[in-house]
Amino acid sequence: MSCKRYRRLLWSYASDELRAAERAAVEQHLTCCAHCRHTLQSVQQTLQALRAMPRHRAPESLLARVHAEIARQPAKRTAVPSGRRWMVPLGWRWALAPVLGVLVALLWWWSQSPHPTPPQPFPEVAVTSQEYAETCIEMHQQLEMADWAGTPTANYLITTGFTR
Amino acid sequence: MELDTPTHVEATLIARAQAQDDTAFDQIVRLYADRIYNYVRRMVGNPQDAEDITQEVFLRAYQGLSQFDGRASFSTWLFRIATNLCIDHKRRQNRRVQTVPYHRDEEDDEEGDWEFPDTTQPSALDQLLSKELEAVVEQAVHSLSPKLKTVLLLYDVEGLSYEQIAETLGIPMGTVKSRLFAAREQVRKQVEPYLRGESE
Repeated sequence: MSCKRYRRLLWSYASDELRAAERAAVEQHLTCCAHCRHTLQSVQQTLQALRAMPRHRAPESLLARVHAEIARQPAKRTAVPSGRRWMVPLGWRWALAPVLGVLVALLWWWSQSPHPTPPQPFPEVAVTSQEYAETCIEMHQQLEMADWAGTPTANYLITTGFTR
Repeated sequence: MELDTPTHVEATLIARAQAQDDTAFDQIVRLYADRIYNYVRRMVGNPQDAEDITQEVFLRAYQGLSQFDGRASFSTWLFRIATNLCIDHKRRQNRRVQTVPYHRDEEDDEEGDWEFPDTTQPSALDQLLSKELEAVVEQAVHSLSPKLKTVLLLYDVEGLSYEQIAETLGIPMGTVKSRLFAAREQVRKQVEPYLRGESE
């Protein structure tokens, strides 16, 4: 196994997340690779630094703001009695009847007439070059992991189309 | 006592809040405010925006509480809302300005705003963890893209599992792992020169 592949394992090794066999393999590699030993040191220091980052506490004023905002919203969660939900004045109901009739007729006419669907253009998605590069790297890394992880399952091959 | 477990207390609070008990929802806010604020604050980098977004997270949770069915954990659900809001915020910001320098103002350094993790065993690195290193790590994390930063913060800072992050972000677990590796490597490469300088 190359150093590049061990490098991925070093993070799990430093976090004590490896199985016994993987752990033993990493330790054996470390005894004969100064470069990976050096990398492990900086991995451990980086992990410690990340986990020791001081935590920001929510200010009391924020809690008060949330409380006030929620107190202003009782109407949204108050259940409307089911019998009253569609209550429309009687006169309006008669006035709406012909409009509804026309709408139903239009819908029926539209469903009967042939209307070919125009080809749909691809939706425009704003992708920055950094995001594109990250996606490529991510795909590459996942393929690399799959290649390394022994025999991929049938489900993996189907879902990814990975056929190498 | 099983009934006193945090999960049971949380479930009881959620059930009460779903039954329109606003006092219970207030307690839920107090339970999660620090974690959500810390996460949002590191995602957006700006205290004022972080407060606004955190407020919006709890407001949306309140409005959508009746739809919360308990299939995901409540914290996962909150982190999902927070992540979506942070990404929306970042997109809006990108439209306005191309790059925004990390905002670190004086009030950051006030003692009351910080809560240091309880470290019972001081190591050699603890001595090295000066304000300078702290700033280097902050800057390294801040410079990550939202996609990588989200995974790094949720795993290494908030302590979510791979499964919970996959559920929060709606991505496969393999993607979570590869993003975490990429994020950590980027941070390490930025922090390493500083650490090397310190050890020399």
